[in-house]
Amino acid sequence: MAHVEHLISAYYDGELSARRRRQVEAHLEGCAMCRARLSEMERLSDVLAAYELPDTLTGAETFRAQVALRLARRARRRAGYMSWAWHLVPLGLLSVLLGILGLLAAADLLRGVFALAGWTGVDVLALLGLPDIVGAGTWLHRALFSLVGGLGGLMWKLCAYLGSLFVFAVYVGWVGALWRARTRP
Amino acid sequence: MENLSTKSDHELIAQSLGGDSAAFGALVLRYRKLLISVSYRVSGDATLAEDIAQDTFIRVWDRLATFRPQGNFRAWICRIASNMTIDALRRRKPMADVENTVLEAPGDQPETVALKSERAAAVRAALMELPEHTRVALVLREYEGLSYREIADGLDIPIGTVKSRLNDARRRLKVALATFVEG
Repeated sequence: MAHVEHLISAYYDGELSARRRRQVEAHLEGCAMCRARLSEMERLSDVLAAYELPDTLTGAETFRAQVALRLARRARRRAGYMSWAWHLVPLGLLSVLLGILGLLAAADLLRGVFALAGWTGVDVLALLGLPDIVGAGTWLHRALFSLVGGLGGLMWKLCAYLGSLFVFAVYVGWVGALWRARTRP
Repeated sequence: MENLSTKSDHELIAQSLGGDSAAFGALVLRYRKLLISVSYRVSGDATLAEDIAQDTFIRVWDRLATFRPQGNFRAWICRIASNMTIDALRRRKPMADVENTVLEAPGDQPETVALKSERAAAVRAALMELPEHTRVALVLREYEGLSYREIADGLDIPIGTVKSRLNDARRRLKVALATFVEG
C-alpha cells in the first residue's frame, strides 16, 4: 500500500471508516515514515495544548448575569421605542383622516371656482397645457367629460368615505389593543 | 426550584423560545467556556473573546427561533462565535503583543513557567498565521473536540473541506512549531 500521509490526520482524529482504519494500521506497522508522521501529529497536539485559556476569565455566574443584563436593557430600550411608536398611532390616523377631508374640501372648492369662472373641461385642459384630442364642443367631448366627471366624482367620494371608515376601524382596533394591554395581568 | 442544568439543549431552547430567561441562562452557563475558548483561540485575545462570547449569546437569543430542532446546537453557536470573531478581527487594527499567555500553575518552577509561556506564545503566533477559516476548523477540532460532521454542519461546508482544512492547518503548524514538535 502507498504511503498514507494524507489519511494520518483523519486517522489521528478517529474519523476514518473501520475498513480504512484497518488499512492504515496495516500500513503503519510496516512504514516508519508514516509512523513518524503520526508521532508528529501527537506531538503537535501536545504543543497546541500549551495554549490554554487564561485563568483570568470572568466567573460563570457573573458572565451569565452580564448577558442577562444586556438582554434586559435591550428589551427595555425596544419597549421604549415601541411605546413611542404606539402613542404615535392616533396622531398618524388623525393626520390621514384630516388629509382625506382636506382633499375632499379642496376638490369641492376647485369645482366651485371652475363653476364660478364658467370654465368648461376644454378650458381646464388648456389651463393644464393638455391638448384637446377629442374636439371641443362635439357630442363625444360632452359625453366623455360628463362620464369622467360623474364617475370620477363618485369614485373619489367613495374612496374618501371608505378611507375614513378604514381609519376609524384602525382607531377602534388601537383602542381595543390598548385596553387589552392595560388590563392584561 | 426546577433544575435546569440537567435538561437537554433542546428542552432549554424550547423553554427559552417561550420567553424563559432562566432556561437561556442555563444555556449560557453550559456553553460560556466553549464560546470563549473558540473565540480566544481564533482571535488570540482573551478580552475580545469574552466580549464576543457575550455578543454571541445575544445573537443566539435573537435567532433562536431560526435554529432547526434537529440541528446541532453546539456546532451552531460555534459557527456564530467564530464568524463574529473573524468579523471583529477584520474590523480592528492589528493585535497587540501576546497577552494572557503566561499560564502559571501553582507550584510550577520558573523554568517550567517560562517554557509554557514561550510555547503558548509560539502556538498563538502560529495560529494567527493560519488563514481564518482554516484556523476555525482546527480550533473546533483540536481544542473543542468537535467531530468532522459537527464541524461541517456548523461551518456549513462539506466534510471533504473540513479534512483538507485540517490537513492544511496541521501541515502549516508543524512547520511553524517545528522547534517544539521535533524537540
